[in-house]
Amino acid sequence: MDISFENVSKVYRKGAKALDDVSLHIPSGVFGLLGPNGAGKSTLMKIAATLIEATSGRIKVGGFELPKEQHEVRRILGYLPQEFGLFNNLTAYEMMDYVAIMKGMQDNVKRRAEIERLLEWVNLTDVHKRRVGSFSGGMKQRLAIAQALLNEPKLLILDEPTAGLDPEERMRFRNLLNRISADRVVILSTHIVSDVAAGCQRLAVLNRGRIMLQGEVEDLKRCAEGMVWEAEVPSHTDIEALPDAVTVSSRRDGDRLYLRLLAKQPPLADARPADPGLEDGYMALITGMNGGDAR
Amino acid sequence: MIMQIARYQWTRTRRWWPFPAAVIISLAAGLIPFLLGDTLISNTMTGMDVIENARNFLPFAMLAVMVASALSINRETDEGSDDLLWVLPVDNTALILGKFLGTLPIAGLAFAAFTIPTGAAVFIEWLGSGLPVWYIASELGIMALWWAAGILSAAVAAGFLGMLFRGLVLYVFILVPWVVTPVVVVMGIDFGYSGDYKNMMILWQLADWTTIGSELTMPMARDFYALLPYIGGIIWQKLFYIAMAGLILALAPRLIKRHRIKGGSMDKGYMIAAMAAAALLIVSAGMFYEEQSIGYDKARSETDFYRNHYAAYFGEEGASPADEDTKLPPLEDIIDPPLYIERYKLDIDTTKPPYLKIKAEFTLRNTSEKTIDRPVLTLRHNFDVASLTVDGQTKQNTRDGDWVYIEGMTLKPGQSAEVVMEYSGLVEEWRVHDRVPYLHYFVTDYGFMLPADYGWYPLTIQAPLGNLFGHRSYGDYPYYSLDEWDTMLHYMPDIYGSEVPTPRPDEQKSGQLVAQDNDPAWEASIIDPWRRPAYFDITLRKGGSYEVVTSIGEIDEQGGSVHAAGKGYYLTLLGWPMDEIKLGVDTAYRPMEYDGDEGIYPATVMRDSWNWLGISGKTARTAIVPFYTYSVIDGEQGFFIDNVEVLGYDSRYF
Repeated sequence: MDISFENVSKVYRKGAKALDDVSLHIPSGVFGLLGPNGAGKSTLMKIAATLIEATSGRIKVGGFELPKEQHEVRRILGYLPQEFGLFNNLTAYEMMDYVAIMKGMQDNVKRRAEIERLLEWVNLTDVHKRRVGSFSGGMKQRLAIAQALLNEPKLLILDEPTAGLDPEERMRFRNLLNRISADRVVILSTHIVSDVAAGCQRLAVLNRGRIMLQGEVEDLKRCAEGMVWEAEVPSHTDIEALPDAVTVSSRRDGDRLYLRLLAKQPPLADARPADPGLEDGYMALITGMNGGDAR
Repeated sequence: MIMQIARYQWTRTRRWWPFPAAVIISLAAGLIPFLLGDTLISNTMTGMDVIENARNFLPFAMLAVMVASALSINRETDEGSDDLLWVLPVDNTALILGKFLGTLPIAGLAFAAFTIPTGAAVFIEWLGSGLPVWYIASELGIMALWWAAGILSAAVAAGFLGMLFRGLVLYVFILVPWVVTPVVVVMGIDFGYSGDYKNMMILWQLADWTTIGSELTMPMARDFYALLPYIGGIIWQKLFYIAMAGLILALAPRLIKRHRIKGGSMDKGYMIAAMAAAALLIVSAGMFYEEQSIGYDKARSETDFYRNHYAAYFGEEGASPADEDTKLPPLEDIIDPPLYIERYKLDIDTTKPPYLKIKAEFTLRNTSEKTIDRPVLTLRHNFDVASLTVDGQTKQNTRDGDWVYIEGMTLKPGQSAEVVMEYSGLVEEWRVHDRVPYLHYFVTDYGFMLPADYGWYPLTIQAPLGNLFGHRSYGDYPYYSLDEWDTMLHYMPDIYGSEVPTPRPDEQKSGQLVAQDNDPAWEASIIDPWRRPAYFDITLRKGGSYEVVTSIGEIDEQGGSVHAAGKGYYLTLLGWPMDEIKLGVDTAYRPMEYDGDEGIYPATVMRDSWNWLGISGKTARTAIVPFYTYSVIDGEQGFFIDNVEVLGYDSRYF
């Protein structure tokens, strides 16, 4: 089971080019799709989820060609859109039942057991008789994840799945993801690097409709090799004015400011080189930096 | 799968406010006729009146159902859950039809809400009326078909729109046909008397989706019997909209392909369903055309008959009679007809509708001072004279328009002759009124209407019978109208010019050659063909178990044979299923659904008027008929016909 995009482009009616000649191979396992807002991630996900058609290019999902064999793809698909509403005037159980029926789960006993198991997984068992419209954002997100998992989809597309989840729910989701990732393709589209770091074997970075990188997690880290610096400066320092440096993170402690920076040369006199992390690699890639001295 | 989807669609539908709102609005629309009182059509209601009233408010129920259906069927788009829905691996046909089926209960319950008040009222009117069970079943059936066709087609059409559009665009698409249809229909389109008139009018009637135009039914078809001549058109028009709903349903999975690749083969079953619905749509439109054409064509044919025979008088002002036109007699013969029939014996057979067969024996007298060769009688042109004898000798006759010339006969001044004439013909006169055809005079299985001015028995005034003496009421005058398609002639003054005396009604005196109160069409008639009374002796065989009313006196009925005799200025015969109410010596006939004092008012008022004026020796016979007819109020003969009760006292009562 794998997915391949070959020279896929998507141009919307008003001329906006969301994807530009994207070629990507997604094998089994959890695959991270990173990119800033507006990079084209959701467009790519919607194409894979059969919701929109590519303007050009070739897409194959587990041997099925899109859009021609979209119905076959839908049979193996679980989808969580980035922005979604739920069937608000159904209860959580009813909504799961409705979706399960439409996913072809006709055996009443098995369907009920599957729904109860998933509601348990997403910690919604206690509220399964409540109407979805009364749910909080986090509960809705969990229910949406649960419906995507119905009928054990071979392809699971999760577009920004952790948005709206509190830290505990996020941890729970990551554990869930690790449990279900065997023998299936899970595409995790996100702009949160830590989500990818937590469970993805492979990833791709998309920016302005183009693939910037695809490969192992370590490949992304390597993008920042030699460019990661740590420094400690007075808290009143104007870090925006640092020449040719990108601030990856900053932490204030009393009157001191601890910085993690990307730069080819030491951005401050007492800057120390550091080992690159995923976030550093992502920032380096997005900002177009490469080849520094911090080794 | 379809039913499972429909079940959840229905769960979602019933839990949202548009559903109860649509049902409540439909219930309110069904109750409005009763909340407004019973004054919309008449002061007393029949079951058909209830249906007729409710029909005016059906569009409101349809609109409520449309909005609710359009919103409910595609709520996912409003709540942003459509991406979840449309990636599910469900068959498009099952999803679309499931959503439609899950939304249709809105239509079903709105239908019930709208129908219950009207149905109950119709049923209550029927209770105790003596009308048969099939009658109430038919009334409720046609009502149910009418409401169902409107509400079902509204729900399906709106559901289809709701799947395609949201927001302002959706409301525009819903409101435009809803508003345009009644506006266009109410305004009407005058297409003139061209050959295309009929086609355009039928198209217009077919397009009357909300049926707010009231153009399918005969004006004031106040009982189901009166509706029967038009019921074919109504049924086919309703089936047309049911077929349209079926076609939309069958094609919807094909036309609504959200996030579905276009093309592909259509399921065989749905293809057959779509073809069947399309076939029904075409057949129903065709049959509707055929049904509606009957009235138009017959009205047209009748109109053309009078155009052909009396073109100069129907044509433009100043036109001269053409050679082939029927020649009108000189004015003095119109003012004072030279022939007089003082005694009629009529044997009338109405048992083979729509034909009427009559054997007329009468005494024909020359009251003029000149010898008359080839005496001429007026008899409606659609009767064929089968045999004619004068004083026992067979005579030939010649037809010319509405006139029958008795060949080889001469009447000297003051001379009389006994004439026996047997004739028969089809009595089924259609007219177009307010651009819609309706049956005016008829002999049917369920009754007959034979006014004197139809010319169903021989008359001595020599004038075309194109409703010459009918259709005269306040503010409404006879005319030949291209819009109306009536076979009405201009006033005699229009034909003969200013030579015709035209005294004002208050200057009229008995004996003058002006309108008398005994005119069956009573009002403003300058020439009075009814000023000489005759003695009528009639025997009538009827085909149904209905009441018979005459303008000359009480009837004596034995078996299927009716006998009546009496003196009168004219003879109008009416047969219809009615209640007969004895009020002393007077008799009131009224629709069978009336009860209590309903429908006896005209007889009461006529009697009061006579009492106040000290008039004695008269008996009143009044009839409220449940079909449209020109009213006759004749105090002279104590005769009254109308389709509603007339309120207020009137000089014509005495």
